[in-house]
Amino acid sequence: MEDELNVPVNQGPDALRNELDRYIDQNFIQEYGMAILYRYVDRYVSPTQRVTPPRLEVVKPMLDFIEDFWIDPYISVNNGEDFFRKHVPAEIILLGGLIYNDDGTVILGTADAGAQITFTDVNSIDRDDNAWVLQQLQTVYHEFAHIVHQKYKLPNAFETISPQGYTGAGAWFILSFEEALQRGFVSPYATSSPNEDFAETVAYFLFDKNFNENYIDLETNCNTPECEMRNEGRVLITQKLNSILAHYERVTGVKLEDVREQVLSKLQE
Amino acid sequence: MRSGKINIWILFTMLSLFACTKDKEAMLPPVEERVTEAITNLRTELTQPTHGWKLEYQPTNQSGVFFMILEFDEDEVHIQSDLAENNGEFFDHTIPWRIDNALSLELIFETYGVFHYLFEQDGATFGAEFEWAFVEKEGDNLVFRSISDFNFDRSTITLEPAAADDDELFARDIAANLSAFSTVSPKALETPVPKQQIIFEDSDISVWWSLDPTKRIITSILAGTGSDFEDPDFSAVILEHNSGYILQNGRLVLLEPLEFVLGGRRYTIDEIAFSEFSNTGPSLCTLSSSNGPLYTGFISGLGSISMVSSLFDLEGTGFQPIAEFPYSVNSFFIFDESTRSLSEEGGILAEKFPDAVAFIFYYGFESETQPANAVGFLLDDGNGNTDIFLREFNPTTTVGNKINVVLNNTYYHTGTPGPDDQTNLEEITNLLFEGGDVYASDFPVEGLVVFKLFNPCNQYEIFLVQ
Repeated sequence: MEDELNVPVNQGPDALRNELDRYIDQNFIQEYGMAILYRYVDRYVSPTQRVTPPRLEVVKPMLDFIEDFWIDPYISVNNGEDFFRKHVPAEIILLGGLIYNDDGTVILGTADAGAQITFTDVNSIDRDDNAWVLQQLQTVYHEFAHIVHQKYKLPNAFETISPQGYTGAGAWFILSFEEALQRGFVSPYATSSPNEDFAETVAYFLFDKNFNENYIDLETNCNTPECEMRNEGRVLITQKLNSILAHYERVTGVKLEDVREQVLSKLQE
Repeated sequence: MRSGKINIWILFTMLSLFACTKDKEAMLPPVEERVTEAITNLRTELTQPTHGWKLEYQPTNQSGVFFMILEFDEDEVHIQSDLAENNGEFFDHTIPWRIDNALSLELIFETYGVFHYLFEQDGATFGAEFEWAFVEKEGDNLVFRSISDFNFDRSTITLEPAAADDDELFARDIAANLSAFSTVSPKALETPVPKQQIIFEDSDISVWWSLDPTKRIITSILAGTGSDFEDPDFSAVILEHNSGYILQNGRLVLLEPLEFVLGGRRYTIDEIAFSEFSNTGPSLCTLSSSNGPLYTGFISGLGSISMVSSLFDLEGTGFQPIAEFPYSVNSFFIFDESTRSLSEEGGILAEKFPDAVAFIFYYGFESETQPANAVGFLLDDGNGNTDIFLREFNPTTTVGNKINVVLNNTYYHTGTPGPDDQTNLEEITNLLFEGGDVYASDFPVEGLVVFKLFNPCNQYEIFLVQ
């Protein structure tokens, strides 16, 4: 009986059971104090959400992607490494598909109070698929930006720059991108709250190579009401972006413009 | 007095029972040790069988059955299945597993495999599972129950020790051949479900059904005489029959046999023994030089059958000429073979007619000024100026659910056409109606009558609202 009890029961989801686990342990847990969770554990999502784990063979390529497009751009700029190591979330969760809610909606990515970032749709990994790449970048930059305002608050008076444009958590999805822009926001989701506005603006600034063209530069020869409203929106976005850039540099020492430069050069490779 | 004696006896018995229970608890090892032992025992059970476990997995009561063999080792489980989707990815794969202890012992398939693929169907509402609570050992078998099924009727699986030759039960060739019928099916905003026509060679009748190879469900639609809706003597009975199926020993077996009466004769289909698969069947595209799939087989009591692709849709037969108004749709709802809207950036509609707000299909429209049969767009320049621009097609009728659209070179414009408008409309409509035949199907939307027109030559799809 004693012998039987001594049989190793492997096998927690966190145990080092294979080469991949040892790679994660060395390169993420020991290096950054960041656990990478790819084996299914039901506590990752709420009981009303349904998710699947990733394919085993996409985990390593996804880790490479995370290093290339998230970790490297931050740690390669001035003060970036110190900032990244101090603010890195404790857990990164990889999910194979999307998060399906029981009301039929889906969630593309989530973060939990700075402690956790969840990547969805990892099974579709394809660096040549622009839509997939931008979706992942939007998720991670957006969620990582939340950590900044959670720890250091929003820039001073940020929520007063476009106060009329906010919708709410239950109404943002009825807006189009055009309507969001006219209100002074980079996306419909940004209108849901000042916190989401902050995170969305940071994310779009970092990954959208046409950010200035889309959200900053005013259209010339503007002679329709729609065009004038878009330009009014761009003025508001410019104010918010400037306050975000100054705030980031002041509280973290990191110039987001430098991070953006790193990201865009990665995207061009 | 007698009553008092009985009460004392009951009290004594109760005290004895409690004492007995407490004694037993006192003798038990600590909880952690018992949990470890229980996990170890279940792990030992799972890794024990020499040839693994066989499983007939039916995710829901309405679905069909998947045959699998699972061989567990210390860290990984080697799963063989007969699910042919994703180019046979799940025929043979190995993933990690573990036993958790939560509300009970739980078998978790930790990374993506066949169970997870099935779980994700229909936005993860299909009813499949990859987390299983251990229920009991029944003889040599292990029984598990789904953890996360939404409904109260939670699905169970029974793992039976596999024999050395159980892998011969797989009918993966049939699974792969049936999946080959999936190539030509409408798929924009819906999960494609291929349809087939089963031609009974010896009795000159046909059955039209849809076969969902992912859920293993056959929905029988229609049985008719002959093999062609254009046959003037065609007669048919509507079938409303759903059945799951299982593939084994070279056969497709319906879990609920299909029975119908046609021309005074009773027909029963309970299984099909397949023989030859080839790509020598008829093509649904009149322009195509390559043929479609053809699967031959035999039904006991009914003789030889041939299975070919079909695009028949019973509700699609309702797409008929309307004198009062044209069919129309927001111009976003025209999709190419990759289900990409033609009005998205880079799409031909966005390029040629960026002001198009709606696609219009005039079918038997009665007007003194506008054409009866024509297709085209409603254009809006954003400043309140709208224009209808149409290209006419020759009069036609809906045969079954097939509409033959032969475009001609007569154009209709309510405004002043731009210099390239006619060329652009010609190019787009030639593309949309390449080959001439489109097939109508019903697209359920609450409160609206919506059809889809599917072009089998280029797999373009147009939604139309009645």
